[in-house]
Amino acid sequence: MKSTNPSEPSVANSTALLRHFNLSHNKSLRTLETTAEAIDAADDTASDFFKTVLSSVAPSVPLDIVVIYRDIDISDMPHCSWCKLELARLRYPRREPRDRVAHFQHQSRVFREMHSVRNFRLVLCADVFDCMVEDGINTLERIAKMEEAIGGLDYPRQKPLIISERRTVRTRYTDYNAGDSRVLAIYATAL
Amino acid sequence: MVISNFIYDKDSLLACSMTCYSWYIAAVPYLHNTLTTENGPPLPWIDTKYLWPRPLQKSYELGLLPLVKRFRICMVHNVPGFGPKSLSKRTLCYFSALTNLQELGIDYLYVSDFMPTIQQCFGYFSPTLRFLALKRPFGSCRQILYFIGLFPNLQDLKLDYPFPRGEQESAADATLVPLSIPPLRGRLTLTCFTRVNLVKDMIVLFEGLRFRRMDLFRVKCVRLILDACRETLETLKLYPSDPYGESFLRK
Repeated sequence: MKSTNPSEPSVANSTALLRHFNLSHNKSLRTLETTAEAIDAADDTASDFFKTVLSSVAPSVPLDIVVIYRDIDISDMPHCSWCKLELARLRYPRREPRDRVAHFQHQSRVFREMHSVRNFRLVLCADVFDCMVEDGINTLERIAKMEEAIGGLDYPRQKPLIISERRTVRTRYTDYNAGDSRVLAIYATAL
Repeated sequence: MVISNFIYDKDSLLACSMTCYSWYIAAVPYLHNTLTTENGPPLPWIDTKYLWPRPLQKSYELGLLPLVKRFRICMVHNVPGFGPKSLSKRTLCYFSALTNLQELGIDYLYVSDFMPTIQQCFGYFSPTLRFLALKRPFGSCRQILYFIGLFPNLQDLKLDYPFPRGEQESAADATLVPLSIPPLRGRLTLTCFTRVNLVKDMIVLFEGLRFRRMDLFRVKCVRLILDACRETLETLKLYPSDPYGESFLRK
């Protein structure tokens, strides 16, 4: 069921969602994480989802919203000096190149709508393979600046924090979201 | 100091390990930190040298197993699964050499087939294991919890696709009590999780849940888990598309 007012999630949806995700009792909660991919996959429902969930978090609690960007959200082809190209391709066998700036504008709209419900610190996290950390951070900074320049990120009092999480096949061997991690793990043991 | 700059760069690590003995000693723990093996029929894209239990055997022969901190047994299909037939006296000997194992991942573990002697097979990891990842484990709720209870220092738990698959909770299962209550104060990761009774039993047998971080993707009993961790939860990872698996469960 779609909301008639785009700024307000529908009552039925909110009620159903709050049956599962009412966070008002989780007093120690300080961070909500999600992925850029999940926001894109949810399309228009992402805003409603987060607005409803955020409305259940105590307003006095400082909250970080961490949005995780994987390699494929940042670059069409991971690259580095020591990765073998064939193995890099195996990571993302099915994804097509896409317009990252356009995708970020959708995400930026979601962040703005979330911020209308509650104050939070936005943290953009480049959760990428080791070889892409620098490139990932630069890309996120560039996109954030472009978005800021056109007023897309005008809501927060503080700028988004951009961080990285260095990922290797050793640290994320059970990672099913990064293509065929099994092949990568085997590659690691082959050394 | 020098080596710590290369811990993510395997080629450089390998080169460092070949320069002199002291550099070898510094580099080798990072090089052999993770051991992965493929348990299943040979597939065209997987070199036979990675098939179970060859990597384990080779590392054992080279005396490298005490360096392994992460060990994963992968499978593409659930046949034959990882059951007692996958283990022999020799492989148990390899297991006993994994003296510093902290993270264990097993795909298609037939917990039910290992009962009641499962402790003899996996008890070697009890003192050190901190992270357990099970993809599509087979067994009743009590059997799976009994397996988890083998590891008294377990902090993080990851369960992927643990569908019920027709396992019945027998009368004998009802009396099955885990050997320990692991702390489980780290991260809980659940993917496509429909076994509500597993969570309910976990709350009872482990005297509540104490996870500080959660990653819940298409989980049927989100409310129950969030309530159980209401005092401890600090970080929650959410997925706005099909957040509690409604669409997924309808399929």
